Amino acid sequence: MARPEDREPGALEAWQDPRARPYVRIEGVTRLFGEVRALNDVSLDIYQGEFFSLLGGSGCGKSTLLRLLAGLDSPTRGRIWIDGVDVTDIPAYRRPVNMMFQSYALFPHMNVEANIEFGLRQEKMPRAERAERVGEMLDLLHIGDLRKRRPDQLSGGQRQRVALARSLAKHPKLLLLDEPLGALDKKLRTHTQFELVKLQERIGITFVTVTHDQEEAMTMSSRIAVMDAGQIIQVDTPGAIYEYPNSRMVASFIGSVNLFEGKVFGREDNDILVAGDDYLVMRLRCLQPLSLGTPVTVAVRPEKMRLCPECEGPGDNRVSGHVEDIAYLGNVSIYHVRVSPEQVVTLTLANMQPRTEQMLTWGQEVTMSWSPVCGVVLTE
Amino acid sequence: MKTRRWPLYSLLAFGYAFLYVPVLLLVVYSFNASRLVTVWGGFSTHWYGELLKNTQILDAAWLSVRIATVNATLATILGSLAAMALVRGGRFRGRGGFELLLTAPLVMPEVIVGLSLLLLFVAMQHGIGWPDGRGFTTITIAHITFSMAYATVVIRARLAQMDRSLEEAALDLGARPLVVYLRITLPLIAPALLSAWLLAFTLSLDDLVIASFVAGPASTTLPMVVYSSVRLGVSPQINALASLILLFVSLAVIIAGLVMARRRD
Repeated sequence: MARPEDREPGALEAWQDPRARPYVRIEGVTRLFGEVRALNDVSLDIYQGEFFSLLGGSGCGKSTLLRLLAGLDSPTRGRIWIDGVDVTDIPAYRRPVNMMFQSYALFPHMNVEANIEFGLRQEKMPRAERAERVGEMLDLLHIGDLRKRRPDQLSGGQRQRVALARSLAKHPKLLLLDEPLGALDKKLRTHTQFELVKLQERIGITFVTVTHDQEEAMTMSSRIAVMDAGQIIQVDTPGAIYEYPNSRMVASFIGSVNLFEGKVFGREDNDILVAGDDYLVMRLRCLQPLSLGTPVTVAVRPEKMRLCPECEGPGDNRVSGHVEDIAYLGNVSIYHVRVSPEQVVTLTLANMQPRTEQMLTWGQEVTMSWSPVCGVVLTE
Repeated sequence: MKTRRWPLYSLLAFGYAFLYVPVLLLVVYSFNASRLVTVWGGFSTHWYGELLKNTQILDAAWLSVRIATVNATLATILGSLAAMALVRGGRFRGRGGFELLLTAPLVMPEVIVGLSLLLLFVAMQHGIGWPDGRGFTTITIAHITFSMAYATVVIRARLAQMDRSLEEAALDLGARPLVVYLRITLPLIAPALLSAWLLAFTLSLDDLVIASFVAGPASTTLPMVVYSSVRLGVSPQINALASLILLFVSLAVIIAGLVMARRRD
């Protein structure tokens, strides 16, 4: 992994560099299950050292794609290359890839040590070397004192570590993780997210993970592929996915978002003017050429909206309504503001003052504003 | 409020008594000195001695054990293959029919199975000259046909419970399919294989109806001997024999239980 500290300032990330050779190349892969298209013509490049996440709801095809990479399933059409080798027809047990299963799939009749050693035995590694490698894995994941335990004597977090140790033991070039943190409770999950990223940076293996948890994907990944109905909708860094979603689906899947429907009716310099319902006129930064009358959706994140009149800038968009619901989360409060009979806008405000001095109450009339650069114009 | 427990307990006691007192009496009377099965004439191991001299019963017992062993082994192997096909084979062509035909022997009347197999064996002997007469081979084949169905049911249940990703994980770690089967699948379904084997063994050992159809004049299984001798009047030797079988079965169950308990620790 190109760690932030040893990368030159301004250097390109692998996926931005046209000369970089992808480590994993998925080309036009389709997988049919009977009539169902689990994957529909998916193409994707993943580079060495990436922490890549496949993100989507259940049934979007993300797990199928991971299984294709592992060789546990084969594509109906399309090819898969790993490190320059076409692995499409190579069975799972000959691929330089290991996988950590969602259920962890620890062998219940073997102890921790034997579980970790299993893959090494298959390569006919000499006994001394095997013992050394098992020791290395036990140290890496701090599970040395569990070595003689059986899987049913371990807690969820411990099992997760053993599963990770087992899948790393063969020093794979590519590690696949299927919902690696899915079975852990929330607190442990947050902690483990950071650990997993640190581990990946230390050992420098390319990670591809599958998750339905957008927060998890945002925290850990170098890049995210958002999937829906067997297709990849957008591939980008967590920041770009959040700030510049390319479609309504991505915008509403990642975080919460306010969507305003409208039509393009004018352009001023780099901005376009959009007419929404109820005489709402919005001004938005938009460089792509859109002809007049194009129907668009404007996406604005709840935390990018401000309350008027305090912080209104020139050219800001405004919308008014009355507060319908307040959810107090401690650090922030979420307000639901009804701006029209059909639409409720979500607004997130940091609680900078103690609760007793809340500035908004139920039923209060408010005007919210957001800058033209904070709204994203979506055509898909 | 104190619940009155004694009606429940006495009901339970009655149930157990109904099941086990006859068995207990059978064992007690095997040590009876009297020739009459129903009259107590003092303690004696006389009938055990007589039994050990009775070559007819001993031969029949030996034949039954051999048949049951071969039957149990083959039925378990075939049953595990059938279970693999049903659980792991996906939706192959003719799956429904396969499943139906496989489990049909569970509900088929034994008389029909016995008679149809007898007709088959006779026809085959005329047609291709095999099996040459009826005896060990034909009884074993007949027993496999129905015990395999039971074995399949037992193994299939276990296999269906087993997490598929365990096998996938082994494949992913570089184990070839045969190694996966031997190192992962087999150890995990071993308890089911053992139950299936014991079930098939027992089914074969006490089968009277089907064996009577397909046995030849020179091959008499233990249940056939017992049944025919009972018709002539019960000899205490049968009690002695039954007690011995009971002893072996209990020992086998206890040993199996101990082995399972040790494996779990």
